[in-house]
Amino acid sequence: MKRPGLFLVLMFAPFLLTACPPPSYLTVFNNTGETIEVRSGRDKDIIAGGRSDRFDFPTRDEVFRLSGGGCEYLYDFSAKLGDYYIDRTLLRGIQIQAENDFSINLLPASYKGDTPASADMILKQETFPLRPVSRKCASAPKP
Amino acid sequence: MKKFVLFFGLLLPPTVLASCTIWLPVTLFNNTGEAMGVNTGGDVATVAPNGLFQFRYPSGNLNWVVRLTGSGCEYLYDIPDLPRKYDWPVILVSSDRKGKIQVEKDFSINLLPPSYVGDGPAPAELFLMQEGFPLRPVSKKCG
Repeated sequence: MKRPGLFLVLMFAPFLLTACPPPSYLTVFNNTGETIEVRSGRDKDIIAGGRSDRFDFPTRDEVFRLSGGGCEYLYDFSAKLGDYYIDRTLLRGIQIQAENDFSINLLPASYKGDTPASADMILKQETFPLRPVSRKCASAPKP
Repeated sequence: MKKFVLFFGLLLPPTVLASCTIWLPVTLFNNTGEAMGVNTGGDVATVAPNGLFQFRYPSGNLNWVVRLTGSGCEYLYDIPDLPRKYDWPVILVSSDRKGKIQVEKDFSINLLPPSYVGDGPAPAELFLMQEGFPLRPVSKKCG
């Protein structure tokens, strides 16, 4: 009976390993001043104003969505981040901050705060601040 | 040992299934008149003019997008609600139930009837007129 057990373990282990790639993260700081919903990879969660949360990094599709103020914003995150260094001790991955105009700023991976960073912490990269590629509003957006 | 085998036999299949997305088959026809690149996140391919490409639509993925490339430009499409609108099957069944879409010269995307059986692009009279179609790219990057 040992062999069937071993067979099952060996047969299913590759499926599990290929189905679940190693985690990589996207940490979002909400500086919009209102509650937003974030969808990245298979993750979806709500972040209160002035707070942050960690999500799956959108490895497959390289996009993420923010919803707030009655609108949904789609961001193309396929741009290269150059020499952006991921701080593996923090387990936060790439850190970004949503501003009140729904532009996205890049924060240093070493930023340890749990609330939005001040303007002087924001990194100046070619593709940032990132603007949404689309905006869908269910009703008229807030002014 | 029997319990051990039973444990793996019963526990692992649901784990594997839960860790993967349920995929729906889609056929994309290239009616652009030129070779076109397709990137669906998991599948990347080049489709010849009048050729077709089959891929899997991740119905469980909230962020799904498609990228097409042609004439030196990359087009990003946002189609998160396609299965619901198209009434695609949840279970993979016969080929006549597959989703079918067609990319036109201007890189708009038309929806074809699931019953279309041709191996090349379909004539315009077959296009389904559904809300959201023809689908336009949300962004275009050239150069």
